[in-house]
Amino acid sequence: MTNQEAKFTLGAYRASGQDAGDPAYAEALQRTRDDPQLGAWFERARAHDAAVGAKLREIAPPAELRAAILAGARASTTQRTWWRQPVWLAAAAAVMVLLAVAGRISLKRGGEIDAPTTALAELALTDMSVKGHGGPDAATGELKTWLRAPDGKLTSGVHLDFAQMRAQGCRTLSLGGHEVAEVCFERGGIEFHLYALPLGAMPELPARAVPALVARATQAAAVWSDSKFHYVLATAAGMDALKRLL
Amino acid sequence: MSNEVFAQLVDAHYMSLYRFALSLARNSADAGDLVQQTFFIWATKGASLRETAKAKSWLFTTLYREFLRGRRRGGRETFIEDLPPGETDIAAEEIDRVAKLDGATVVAALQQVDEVFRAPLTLFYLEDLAYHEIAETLEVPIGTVMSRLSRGKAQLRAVLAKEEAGAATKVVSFPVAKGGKSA
Repeated sequence: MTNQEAKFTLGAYRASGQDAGDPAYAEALQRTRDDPQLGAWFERARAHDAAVGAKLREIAPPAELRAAILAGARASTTQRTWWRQPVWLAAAAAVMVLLAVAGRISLKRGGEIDAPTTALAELALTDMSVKGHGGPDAATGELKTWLRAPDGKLTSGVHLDFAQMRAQGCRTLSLGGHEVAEVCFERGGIEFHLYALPLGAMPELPARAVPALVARATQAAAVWSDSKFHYVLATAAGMDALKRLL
Repeated sequence: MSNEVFAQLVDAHYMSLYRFALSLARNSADAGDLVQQTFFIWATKGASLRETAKAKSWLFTTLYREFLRGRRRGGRETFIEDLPPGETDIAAEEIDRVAKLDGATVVAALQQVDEVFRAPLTLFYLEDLAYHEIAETLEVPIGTVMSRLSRGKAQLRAVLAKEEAGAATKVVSFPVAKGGKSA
């Protein structure tokens, strides 16, 4: 091994010395001990590498990144296992990131609706496409009757009680530790999905009295709020069908 | 994988992953997205990895693949054959110079290094991976990693020297006195 070859090999030697036991460096390291000139070069090279490495490690990730990673992965349902499907996790993770860094990410969809609201609508549209979650018969009793009422407008007031909904077999899921209730129901032969998230659970999500409408192919969703909850109403039957309930 | 174990995995690696992503993507938002996406993929696929000792390499590899996947749409490839050989001699002043810089300046300099060198160089400086693990992560031969480290270091030092020269010749404007002319 020549000194030039030793320099080439030692270029990959980590400055902290944690590669000292790696046989691949043994011959080159021995040369640094035998040749003072090479030894001096090696010391300078290690010092330079250590200085650059230390500066690089000074860089701190954004404060919200850790929380966003954990929240995205924590998205889970309390009753079913369908949430393990990647499509839902992807959507949930996207929502959490958007909520965590709201205002600093521009969603490529454009338009007038803020990114967190759009993301929540997208989550609902993705969720209702996942096979295996509650069907149109999930709601029971008074809630089912009320939701199925032919002329009932959901934006005029939704009387939800999480505890009651759970007792009635409605699905609840966790989005970054915040409980989201979901109920499926039919009206006029069309299936709808209503999601509710307590107001204030996610401060980044603005309250809106007037529904924000989001369409994705034949799917449509509306997001609005009252004094207690944010709501998302979603259907695969198109925007016209959706608007009849608003 | 339990939430607690996942949190431990995140805590152990997300900072290094972010720094690696920042050197590749060159902006904080995209770097954060890359890290988030990497852990999301872990949550859906990587958690089945039996050997948890390999999680670190897996995460770095996945992040790099995600970066390449996003960049492939319009990125320019730099071919190693087109580039000059690396310089190896280091002056003592260069070490002092780096020590006086702040982290952001060093990262900015690193981001000016050609991408083909930047990825192995950042992984090397982070010291999370040995040369053979860097080779696995970037899916290139070990010899290529060593060659790229040599050339990358030379490029980085050239950038740092250029920036210092620029800073030394920068015109500094003095504040104008109220109602009068500058001195």
